[in-house]
Amino acid sequence: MTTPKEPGAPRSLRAFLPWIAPLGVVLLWQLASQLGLLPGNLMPAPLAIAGACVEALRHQQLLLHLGVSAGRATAGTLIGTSIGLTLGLITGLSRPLQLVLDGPLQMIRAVPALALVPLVILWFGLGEMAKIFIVVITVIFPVYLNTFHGVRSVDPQLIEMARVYDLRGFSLYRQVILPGAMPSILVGLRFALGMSWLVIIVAETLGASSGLGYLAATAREFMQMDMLVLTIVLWALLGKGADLLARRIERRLLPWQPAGQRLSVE
Amino acid sequence: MNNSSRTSGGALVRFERLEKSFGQRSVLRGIDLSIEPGQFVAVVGRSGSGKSTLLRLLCGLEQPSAGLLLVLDASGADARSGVRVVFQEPRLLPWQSVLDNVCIGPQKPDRERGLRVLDSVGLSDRVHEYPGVLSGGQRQRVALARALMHQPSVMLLDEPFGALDALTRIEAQRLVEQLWLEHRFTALLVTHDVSEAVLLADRVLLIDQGRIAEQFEVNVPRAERRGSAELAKIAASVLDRIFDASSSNAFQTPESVPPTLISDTKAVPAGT
Repeated sequence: MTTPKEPGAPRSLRAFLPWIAPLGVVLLWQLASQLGLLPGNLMPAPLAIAGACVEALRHQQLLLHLGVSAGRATAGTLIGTSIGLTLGLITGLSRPLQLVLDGPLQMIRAVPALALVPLVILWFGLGEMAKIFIVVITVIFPVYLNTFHGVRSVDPQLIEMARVYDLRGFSLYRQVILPGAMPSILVGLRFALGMSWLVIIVAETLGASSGLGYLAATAREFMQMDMLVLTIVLWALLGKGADLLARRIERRLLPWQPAGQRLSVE
Repeated sequence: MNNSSRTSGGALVRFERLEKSFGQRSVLRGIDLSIEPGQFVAVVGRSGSGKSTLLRLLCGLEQPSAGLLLVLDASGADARSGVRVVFQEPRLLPWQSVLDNVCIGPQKPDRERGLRVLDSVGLSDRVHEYPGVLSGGQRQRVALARALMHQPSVMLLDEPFGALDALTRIEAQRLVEQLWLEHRFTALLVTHDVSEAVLLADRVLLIDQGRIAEQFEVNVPRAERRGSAELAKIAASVLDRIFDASSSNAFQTPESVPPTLISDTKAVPAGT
């Protein structure tokens, strides 16, 4: 029973299925460009974009810019997740703290992080702090809300059982509440990872001298269509990568959950 | 943890004029009861009679509103830390293995004892699995093992067989009886199944309207109990008394009679 066989198509075919749609789109796109259906100056062909990619790797330090963006997104996600997790845990466990903190947090949540960009640039200038701050602000809320919800929805029968078996304080928290809230926390983390990419690149287009968003902004200024589309494609790929990472973390942290019961959609 | 309460043998349980109310609603109204160490007592009654509250008081999940509640070991010391509960639901932690579930508690886990206890409930081959892959009966056996882990002085069983199918239930009842004979803890079984109560208990208490309405001694030798006509007679008189009590209070207890009470009358003589 430990490794149930999944019904349906064989494994190798199943691994290939998710690639069919993207590959089909790329093929059609290339075909349409070569037939002259898509004007090259507005929508460059996939091969042209691949060329731009090679070019950017050789002359524009594409990898360096990607690394810079990834670094900012990671730093912001780590800080934001820690803050969101802490806030969610304390408000989830203490009714008075919930009353004190939840109202203000919900108000801040209603402000789109990108609306803060001008203010943040005035505060922190164009340095790293400004971008990381934007990511932190964005990441806090999905993690906070899902952690709070997770802590509150831990099965009260299990908490009662734990009380009868003398689990209190930290051990109650470590053995029952935290693992009980973990599925929900990970949903928050998955949101956070996706959103961190979103905002870091937008923040970079508004004022930066490095990063994927900066590349996109300069490409726009110089009307480099292939470069512009390349940044968008990379954006999509990185978002997918963040999602895969979140799933891997989920599988690692929730080995006890049968795949069908995971909160997020596979 | 009190050392003397961990030696084998059950604790004495005593309630004196115990009362419990939730706000305006009085649930237990003056319970006087003494359970000898190692005795097996079943508590029956209709839903809402207060029988579950009695059990929750005993394990500290509720505090009495008035009166006295004592759990004493052989030396007369407080043995409440040795009270263990098996709930109707297994209440296992899904993220811990069967063995870790059994070893739950603030103390350093004694995994060897955990393995022995799991072996005694017939689960030695499932110790490293997650509860999610076990059947209902197996999960309940894990819950039993967890309760046995620290040599309980009192074992509280809150309808522990209620969610099991008929065959698994018989198996689980036999297991509980066998473990009780072996460990000699004091057992308090809350159930609405009268045939189950007379099958397992030395004494059956009928709770009605928050009071002990009647007590029945079950003196049939355990080996002869299944299918015994005498046992069926005791069960029938307990049921009669339940209906007497409830018909005289018909206007105060509007709930319908649980269907199990009715089917059990037939189940006792046929249940060989």
